[in-house]
Amino acid sequence: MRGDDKTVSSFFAFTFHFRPLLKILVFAAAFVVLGVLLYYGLRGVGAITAPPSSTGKEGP
Amino acid sequence: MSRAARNLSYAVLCAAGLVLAVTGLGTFALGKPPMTHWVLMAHVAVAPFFAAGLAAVAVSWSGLCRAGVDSPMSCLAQTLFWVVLLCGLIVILSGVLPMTPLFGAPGQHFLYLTHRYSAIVLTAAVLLHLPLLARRK
Repeated sequence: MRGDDKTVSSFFAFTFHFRPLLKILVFAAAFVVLGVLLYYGLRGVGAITAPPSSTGKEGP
Repeated sequence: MSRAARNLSYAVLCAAGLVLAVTGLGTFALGKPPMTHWVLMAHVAVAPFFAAGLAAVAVSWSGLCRAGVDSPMSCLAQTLFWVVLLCGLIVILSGVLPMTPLFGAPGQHFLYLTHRYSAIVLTAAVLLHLPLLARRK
């Protein structure tokens, strides 16, 4: 690996054992964040686009 | 969600984000990208803590930052929170998607650049957000 010594290369190879765990954890976190963004985003869109009668306000 | 849980999640996010910014943006700013050797391994080792902290922050802070709620946070702080969440999502996905077989070399390069520049925006948003949190009502 680019002229590295054996310690760096072997440790770098060792880290690949944890790569599937990293992917699972990061995708799970992304799923949670995406869920929060969609939940509040859609609620916001719903509040903006709701007809006046459903918000309890009278029209002119 | 208790205040302690909120503060802990934000502290984890900031601590992990600091290491990621030093290793990632530091390498970029010093003019020797891409990361290699121990710096790269440190960057990737801290990444799961950042992702977990971001998810915890999303769950624990979102109720305080939604529009129309009586929140102790200012409007700017609430807006920056959503910017942090959106950029954080882009950063973690663009970091891990190149590890999948879904993208070829051009796609991986695009994701690499997306990761870099969204991380810069994320760092700026967190740095602006922190002082606003300290001054919350």
